[in-house]
Amino acid sequence: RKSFQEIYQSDSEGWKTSKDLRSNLGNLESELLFLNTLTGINIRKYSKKIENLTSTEMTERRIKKVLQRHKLSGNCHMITFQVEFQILEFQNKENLSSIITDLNIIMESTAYSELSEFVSRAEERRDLFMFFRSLHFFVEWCEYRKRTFKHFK
Amino acid sequence: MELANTSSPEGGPGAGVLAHLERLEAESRKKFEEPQGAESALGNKIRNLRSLRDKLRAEVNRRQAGVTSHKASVEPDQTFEVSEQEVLERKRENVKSILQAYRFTGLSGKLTSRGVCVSISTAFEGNLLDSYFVDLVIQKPLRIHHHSIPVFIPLEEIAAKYLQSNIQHFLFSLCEYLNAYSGRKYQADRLQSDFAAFLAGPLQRNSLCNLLSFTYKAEPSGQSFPFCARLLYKDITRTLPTDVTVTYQGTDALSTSWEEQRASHENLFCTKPLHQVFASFARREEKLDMNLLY
Repeated sequence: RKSFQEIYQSDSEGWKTSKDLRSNLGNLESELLFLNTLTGINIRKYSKKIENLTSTEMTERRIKKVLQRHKLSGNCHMITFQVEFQILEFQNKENLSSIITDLNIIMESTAYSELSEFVSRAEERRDLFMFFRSLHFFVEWCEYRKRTFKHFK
Repeated sequence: MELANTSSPEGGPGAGVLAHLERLEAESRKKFEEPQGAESALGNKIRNLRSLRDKLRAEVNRRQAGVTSHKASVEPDQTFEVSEQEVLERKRENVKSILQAYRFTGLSGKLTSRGVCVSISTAFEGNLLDSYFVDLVIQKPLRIHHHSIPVFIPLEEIAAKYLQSNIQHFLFSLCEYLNAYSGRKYQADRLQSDFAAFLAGPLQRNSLCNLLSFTYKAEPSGQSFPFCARLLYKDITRTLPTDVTVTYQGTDALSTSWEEQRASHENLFCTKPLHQVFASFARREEKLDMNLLY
């Protein structure tokens, strides 16, 4: 029988049995549940595409330019979202910079008008983190309001 | 019951129930053109025939599906085991990539043998900046095993307030402080690297980047006076200063236009990120240069 650490760390090795695979999958799913609880965000789908924009001239000057396209979708309680964004990675001799160059947020529930306000602000500022933080707090506030009203019914 | 292909109805009598039903339907459709009296009775007949046809079609589909699934399950056992592994592997890759994606929410983490290691990402105006981690031991009481939080961030204070009662609040609060620090640092770094030509001396800054002091010229090439700026960010959860003083280091009194400039600069530093204020100075410089050419 393997210890927790052995199962958890034997990521890159080949899989001997599907039993090992299953226990590793179980650990990963616990991790997912933990992050879901911690952030209040449930990411259900994620995909990314990488496009290398480095020209041969850039490679000579030791400059690297890469465009990443990310797509993720999920929900925060009853609110579902779909986020697509692009990150431009630029690396030269001195430093590496990663900049969100495009952010598109699609929300299904138009029932909450307050949401669309901070969504467009987040898109404008390309502030991905702010979007998720605000979404979480907004949903928490909604839940709190619901509970409060229930209390007085 | 024989099931005939409905697309070739000319099978003669006894060519199948479906074909028969279709013929009946065609007949009733013809009779539909008869006097109004018989209309509703015929309408009902059509409806009944149609529903019977649909039921039979469903039965055909069900039986056909049964045939194909029977074929699939007759595969040898060996193949079935490998595909289970494949399925698990694919699931695992999928979960792993979603775990990676959590860093885009600003908060991510990994389970450890002791508890959990949380990673906090920072960004400013779309620029992804440094990440920090806090390694927590899940015990009573909860404690921080180790971390990469800079010493000038009030970690102990935040932990004392929230760590034991609400981990989420503890982490979100830490997020706030770290993102603000990252943003202030980014602005100061950009000023030093991109707008050195505007500075008449070194940029003085503290580690928390909430107290900045520098001497600058809004028009480095022109005859403008150097101004001294002092930016204090009393609220360290914010990326804009709370107190700004721009002064003129000279003995003569400032003319009205210069006094206006000084006041407008004070306002600019309060409302716009530092490097963007200088970017606007640079744009003005460019415009002036253009004007001089003509």
